[in-house]
Amino acid sequence: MGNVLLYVLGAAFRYSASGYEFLQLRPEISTPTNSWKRLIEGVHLNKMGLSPYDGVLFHETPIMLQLYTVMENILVHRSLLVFIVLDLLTCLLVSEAGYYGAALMLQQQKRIKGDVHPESGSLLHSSNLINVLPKHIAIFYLLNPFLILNCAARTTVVWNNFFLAAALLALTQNNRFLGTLAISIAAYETMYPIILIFPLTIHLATIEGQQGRSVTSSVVETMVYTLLWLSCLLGLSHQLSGGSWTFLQATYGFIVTVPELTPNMGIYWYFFTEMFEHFRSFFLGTFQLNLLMYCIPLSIRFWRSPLLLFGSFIGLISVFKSYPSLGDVGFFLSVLPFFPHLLPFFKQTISTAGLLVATTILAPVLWQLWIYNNSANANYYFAINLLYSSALIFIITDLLLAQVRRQFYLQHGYSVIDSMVNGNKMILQLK
Amino acid sequence: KMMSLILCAVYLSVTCLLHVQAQNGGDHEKFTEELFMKETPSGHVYSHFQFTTRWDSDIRRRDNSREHYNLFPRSVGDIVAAYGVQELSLSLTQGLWRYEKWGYPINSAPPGAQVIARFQSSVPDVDKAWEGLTSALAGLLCSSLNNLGRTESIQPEYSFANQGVTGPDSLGTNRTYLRYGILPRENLCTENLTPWKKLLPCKNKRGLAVLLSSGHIQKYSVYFSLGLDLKPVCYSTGEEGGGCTSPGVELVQSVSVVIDPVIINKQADNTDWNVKRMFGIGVTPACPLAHTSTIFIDTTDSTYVLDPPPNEYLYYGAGMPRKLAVYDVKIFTEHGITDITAKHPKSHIYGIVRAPPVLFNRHVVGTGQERGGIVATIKNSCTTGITVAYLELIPWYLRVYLHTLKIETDGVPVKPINTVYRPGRDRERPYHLELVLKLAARSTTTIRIDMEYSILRWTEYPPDANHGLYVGAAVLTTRLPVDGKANATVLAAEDSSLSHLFWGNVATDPVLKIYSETLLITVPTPDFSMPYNVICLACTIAALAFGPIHNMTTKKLVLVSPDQEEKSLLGKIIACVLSCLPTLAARKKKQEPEQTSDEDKGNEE
Repeated sequence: MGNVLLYVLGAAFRYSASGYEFLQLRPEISTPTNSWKRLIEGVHLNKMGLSPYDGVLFHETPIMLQLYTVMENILVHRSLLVFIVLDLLTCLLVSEAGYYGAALMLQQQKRIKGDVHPESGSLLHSSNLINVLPKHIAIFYLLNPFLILNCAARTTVVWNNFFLAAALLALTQNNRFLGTLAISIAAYETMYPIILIFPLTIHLATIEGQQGRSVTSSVVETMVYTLLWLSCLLGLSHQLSGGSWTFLQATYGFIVTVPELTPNMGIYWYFFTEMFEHFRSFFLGTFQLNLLMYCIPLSIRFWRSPLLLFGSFIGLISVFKSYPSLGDVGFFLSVLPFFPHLLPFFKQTISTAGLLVATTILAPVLWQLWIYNNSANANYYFAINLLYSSALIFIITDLLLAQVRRQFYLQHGYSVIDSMVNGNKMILQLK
Repeated sequence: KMMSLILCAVYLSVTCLLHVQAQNGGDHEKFTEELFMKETPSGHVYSHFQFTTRWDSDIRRRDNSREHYNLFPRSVGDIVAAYGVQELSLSLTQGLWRYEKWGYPINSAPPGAQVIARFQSSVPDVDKAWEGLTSALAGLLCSSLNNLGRTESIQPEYSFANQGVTGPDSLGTNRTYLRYGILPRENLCTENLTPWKKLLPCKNKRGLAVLLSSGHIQKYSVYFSLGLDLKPVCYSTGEEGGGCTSPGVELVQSVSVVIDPVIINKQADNTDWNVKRMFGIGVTPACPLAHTSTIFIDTTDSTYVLDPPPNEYLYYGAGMPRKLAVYDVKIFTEHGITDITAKHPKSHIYGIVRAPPVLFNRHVVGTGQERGGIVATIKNSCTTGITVAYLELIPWYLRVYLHTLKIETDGVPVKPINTVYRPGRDRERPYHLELVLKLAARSTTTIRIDMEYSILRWTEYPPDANHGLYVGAAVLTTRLPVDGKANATVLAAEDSSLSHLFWGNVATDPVLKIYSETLLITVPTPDFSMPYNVICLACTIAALAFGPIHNMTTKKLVLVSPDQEEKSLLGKIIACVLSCLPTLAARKKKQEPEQTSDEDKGNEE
């Protein structure tokens, strides 16, 4: 009953926020790759018989374009309902994933219980997790202001989040078919989620390894599935856009080369506005690789906790993608309740949370001062972008470090830290 | 004696013949210089200088057979031959033509520079030819027309129809050979006028061109426009009256100047004017190479008296004919430089001026540097409906949303008959919007489209970036209905000279071009002074993630005793300082006891 009420409340919030049409135009929410206005423009051009990929406004994929063209014909002015329903469905998927995720974590815990230090019993998950987790996730998702604003602004991030949620659910259910499909669609839409294939592959290989299957064959199977899905999607797009590949340049080319420097909450726009021309391609490469670079070391270090990998990858994408928006971050924040066991090990909870709240509030204020009042300049807004990004980075690194620390305490117990050597207290350090 | 007399007569007749031959260019080339002056209802004086050179040489010839140039400027001929130009229309303008106050000019031009070029269908690569042509014209007229590359030009579909004769091979009407570009921020100054005057057969030494002294025009004019128009004309048609068998070429060089006599007279209600005070010199003898040299002064609605009186009066146009005072410069200046004065019996009364039948204005709406809209207003006060073509060329850095296009006539939404839209691409091509609309009689139509202002790379901003960026004028092309025709002076297609028009050859199909205002748009600017800081700060943020992730993925969490602790750089420095302190303190202690004993003593006292 409480759950139904929560969903109704979430829907009501989203519906009432959608009355503020300026949300669709906010740079923090709508970026060139997800804005509703651009989508309409693309559909309009498509209806006129012009290719939307000929211009520089439209960056959605051909399947999305067709989908919206059909959707607009059916729904006309009720497209908001689709977004709200989709967002609620996403929430359902994530909380379902919470249920299975909790089961997965409890199962893993059972396996290592013998190795846990007797002092660290309190660090273990309680069996109640399986009931609590879905509820927490639903609250985090439905009442998350970032996601409410995102849905009210009708960005296509709503769709992307839906597929990410599906991928998360598939991961917790060990479902290769759905997992690769969801990740492929999400990657087809916004490219970056392709790195989520790492946690899925690792998880499936581990699970199937325990059932006696060889790791290589499992990995190869996941890869083959993904490639198959991706080629299907791209082939379909090729057909839909009349046998032309121009959409590749307008979608993925746009995401990779960052030609448009419209301000957003990321670090790309001002960086590449102020970039020296001969260094542009070098730094583009560096910044795009920056995100990819983290995949392999993190996968090697945290292969035992694929859920954590999944979460931190979503976080890294939402910070380091070329056109980040509040919706991406909102989804990352709503995945955080998966890790209640790591909360005691967070170092800077209050300061990062404060930073995130402060920058979210200050961003529109400084935007107003820069663009409308002319009493500030681009540096003010960019400073906020930097702080906002660092707050998110702190959350991600804290999350990962917390896992490292928890592992340590589970293994060694608390008292080691109080042991004395030569009259000095020992210090816990990464070495 | 008889012999010498005969010889003398022969000599005289030969020289006479040669002289006539030289004057007329043997009918192969003909040069006419004309000045049309008109006092506008607002009291301004509009002077339109027009120098027309006609030549029967085929414009399509691209070999060296064009080598012999008499009157036609060779520099223009070479450019035309090199790039296969069919038609060319170029204007450089300072100031804005006020249609509502001054009526329609003979040659409409937008503020800044404009080039319209049509290439012959034998040209293989039009874009390349366009780039070459604009660069050559830039060199010819010392202006920045070379900036009109591919990124600033479009191919209009309904505006700018053929001006000259068409039909013969490679003189086509295909729109793919047409290019149009506009530079709204281009200035017109002495360095453009001087090379332009050098294209005339008499340069600036003789004839009406002597009146074009840059100093005077720059000082007094409120509008100053320079034009160069080239088109093929027909010298003889085929037997069936169908196509043209021998196309020639016609070059029209024109200057339009609007001067406010009040400024010269320094009296608010005194609108008397004379040529000498406006241009610094009276009318000088005609250019000897000119076939005709004429001054026309429109006296239809004016109350002034011309002194000296004209050679004759001319009535032109049907219905309400216009009365023109005609001065034949060759006769008029027999006794040297002569001034023409216009004197009003009464002082000027300022009032509401009757606007011409079709008015076109445009402005930008919205606040802030994020987004805005362009609103164009077309007012049709004709008693019949008209069809117009509206052409908008918007630079790529303003991102236009076509779905926001709204066209309303007196508040009622209207559908355009035709829409041409080519979206722009960043740094590649501008947005091109062309609408064909049917406007009802006595109606006001507004066209509105929304756009977003993009933030550019810091090196792409023009100097003084906070001044803003200009959007060139929009063009409205229409045919005036019968009741509005008297308002416009449209030159005949077969011969562009004013004499041809005024002596009874009214254009059969007059097409009117109206230009709107240029727009100034303030786009967001970055801080130009701190690229290094921004690069450093953004990289720091990236490093914030890299550092901890690198640490936790390459290191293990272990317990260490404090002396084994691996310190950060800052920690190392502090440790170093701390380790140095005891020795320093020890050294100090050696000196301190004496001081302290002194202090103790002091305390005791």
